[in-house]
Amino acid sequence: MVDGAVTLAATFLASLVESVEALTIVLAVGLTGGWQAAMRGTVAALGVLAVISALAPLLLDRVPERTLLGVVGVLILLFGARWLRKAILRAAGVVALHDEEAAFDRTAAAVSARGDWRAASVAFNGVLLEGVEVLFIVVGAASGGHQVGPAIAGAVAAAAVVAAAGAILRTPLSRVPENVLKLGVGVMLCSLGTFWAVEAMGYSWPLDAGSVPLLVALFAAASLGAAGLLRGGPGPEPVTR
Amino acid sequence: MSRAVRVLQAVVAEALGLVVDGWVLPLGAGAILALAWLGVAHGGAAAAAFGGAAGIALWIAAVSVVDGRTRRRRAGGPARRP
Repeated sequence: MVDGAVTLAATFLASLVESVEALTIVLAVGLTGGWQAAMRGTVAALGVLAVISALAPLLLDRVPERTLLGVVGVLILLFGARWLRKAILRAAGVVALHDEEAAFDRTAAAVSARGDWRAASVAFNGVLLEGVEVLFIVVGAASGGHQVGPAIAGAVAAAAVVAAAGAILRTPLSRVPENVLKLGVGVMLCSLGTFWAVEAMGYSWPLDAGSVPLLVALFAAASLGAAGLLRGGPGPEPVTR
Repeated sequence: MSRAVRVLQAVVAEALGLVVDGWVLPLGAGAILALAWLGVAHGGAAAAAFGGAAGIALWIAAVSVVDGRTRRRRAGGPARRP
């Protein structure tokens, strides 16, 4: 139950962040290069993602469960650690917050300078890149915790929320507190990754999945402590992603 | 503090700042996991599991602090809060 809720929350939040980034690119292409080009690129990328999604479980079925748990745990942990480090630097003001409006302007300028089919390729690349990141998290969360349903539900719900917001607002979703989400997702990914990696070593956690909130508290405390240590000093560096 | 010590400190900090951006974070986390694996395999599994988790959390925090201070110094400001 706890495992399922954590998996759903982790995939929902991670997918929310990635979906906002993908939507920003699609909106920039649509408003400057035309909606036909934006939709062409988006649909093509979703098609490629569907093929990758269909192939991933076939490959995963051939790997022993414990090996899979270990590999997925380590990968999720390393992925989360990278997010967490960037989120700590942003929370401390060392690196500028990722500004979706700036990303929108950059993409719009790039599309304006190119032709119609190139506008479609910008949308294609953006949606595919962000989609692969979501897919990686969903496949990892689903196979590591045997929670396929909650993992897919979390990702689909996030994509639906962002798509609906984008269709209504038709502006970049710059008000989504992206760094708070990234810090939270980084903490969750690190906790789940550590949980599964150690389980794959043959250790049974006390309280089973009930240990995950303890790990979440541990990673959150260390990250907020690091951000607190760094806070203050001169202003941020330019955005680096 | 002598000039030589300050120069040495700057060189070490610069080198640390360069590597933390790439391999130090995953390699350190991997090394801690390997130690936890040894601990689980040779008894003391609970201590190894929770110690490993705490070690990784502190490792990410420490790398972030070093990285942040290095970026600040490169940007021309003081590494630490005045």
